[in-house]
Amino acid sequence: MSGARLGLGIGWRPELALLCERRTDLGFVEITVENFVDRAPLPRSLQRLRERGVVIVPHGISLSLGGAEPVDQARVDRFARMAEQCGAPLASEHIAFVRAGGVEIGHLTPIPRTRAGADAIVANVRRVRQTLGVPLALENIAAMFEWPDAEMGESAFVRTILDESGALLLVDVSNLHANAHNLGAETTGVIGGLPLERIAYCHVGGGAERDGVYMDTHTDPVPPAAIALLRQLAAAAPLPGAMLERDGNFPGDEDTNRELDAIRDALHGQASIA
Amino acid sequence: MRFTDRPPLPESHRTVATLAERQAALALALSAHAAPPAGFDQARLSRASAALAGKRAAAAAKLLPALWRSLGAEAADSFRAYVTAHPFPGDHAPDALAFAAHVCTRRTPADVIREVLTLRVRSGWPVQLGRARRRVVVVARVAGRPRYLGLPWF
Repeated sequence: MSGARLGLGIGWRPELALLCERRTDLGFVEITVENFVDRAPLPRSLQRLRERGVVIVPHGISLSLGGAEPVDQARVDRFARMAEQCGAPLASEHIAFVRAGGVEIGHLTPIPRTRAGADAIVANVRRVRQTLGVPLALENIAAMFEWPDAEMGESAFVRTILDESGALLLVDVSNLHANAHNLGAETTGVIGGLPLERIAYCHVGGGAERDGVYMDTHTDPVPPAAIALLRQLAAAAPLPGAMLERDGNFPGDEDTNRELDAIRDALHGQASIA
Repeated sequence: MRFTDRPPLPESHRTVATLAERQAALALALSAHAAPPAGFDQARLSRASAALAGKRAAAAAKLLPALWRSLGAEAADSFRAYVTAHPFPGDHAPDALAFAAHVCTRRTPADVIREVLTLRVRSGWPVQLGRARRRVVVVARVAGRPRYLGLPWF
């Protein structure tokens, strides 16, 4: 078992603050660290959720853990401060890099599935863990391309990184779906090969197909394939939590609630009508 | 000691250095459309690069809607031209401001300039506007917003 029991969650956004407060079955909300002002009090709505016992999980997008360059200590400090401020039982980041050689990419970019790639991210996760007071979970990303010289498959690569760094796993089922669709990756084999006992929680995000490419937009409805993958995972291992990611083009609460219901039902191994 | 007599770098150090160089080349290819590193699927890489430019454009349009509207049908093309010379600065606010500096002219409407100024004040990003800076100040005066002139980065 990989730690805290989180239950049903959602990525907290100002536009979803009311929905979060109205929804009584939320066990946790995830916040994107970079969207908050450093050292400022949390928004009142988040404070109310916390007082209610809803767990807040900080999620980083700019540490660039998979970069060959050492992680920026100022960013790590800020990340750790947020985890402490939220009283979070864990925090999460990505198996990716976002900058190199002084150039910002502005997007989570894949790293090569090689020994050198694993060494780089393991070294950075160890650096983060020296400052961060709680466990760190690493998320699989949606990639639009691959490095040419992979030495191992997706699941073996993830397992190597987790084994050597001591990190937990954040499985994004929509990203698994995107990679299967765009890169021909095979989801069943990847799910079977992942270290399921290290799963901290799961992401379920919406997306849309454009010109034959599945884009993990977080501004479109959740594809049924992502819910099916979550159900498959839940059948293979007890999942501590799962959450919805919606970042824009917000639908009415009814639609968002239906997606949350579908995630909750999949988490508990129940069939859903959604 | 001759150059060839130098001991080789330890294996681990060499692979990490190579990864750093390859990541830097990939970052440039993705964010500024530089020549992609060898071995990558060129079509997929340019699609990813275009998607990133689209993401930056969408953010700029959201941050500076009046500027975007004022450019009309040329907005997307203008942004594409801007992207090729300007790698992503790491945040969308300075990106939108640099784009504004790139496209603003003497004829830019006052409400657009006001929007740009407001974003500069709100985001706190000190951006080098160069020649556009003078135009911004002049138009700000015309628009009756001289109080902005007191801020240090104008």
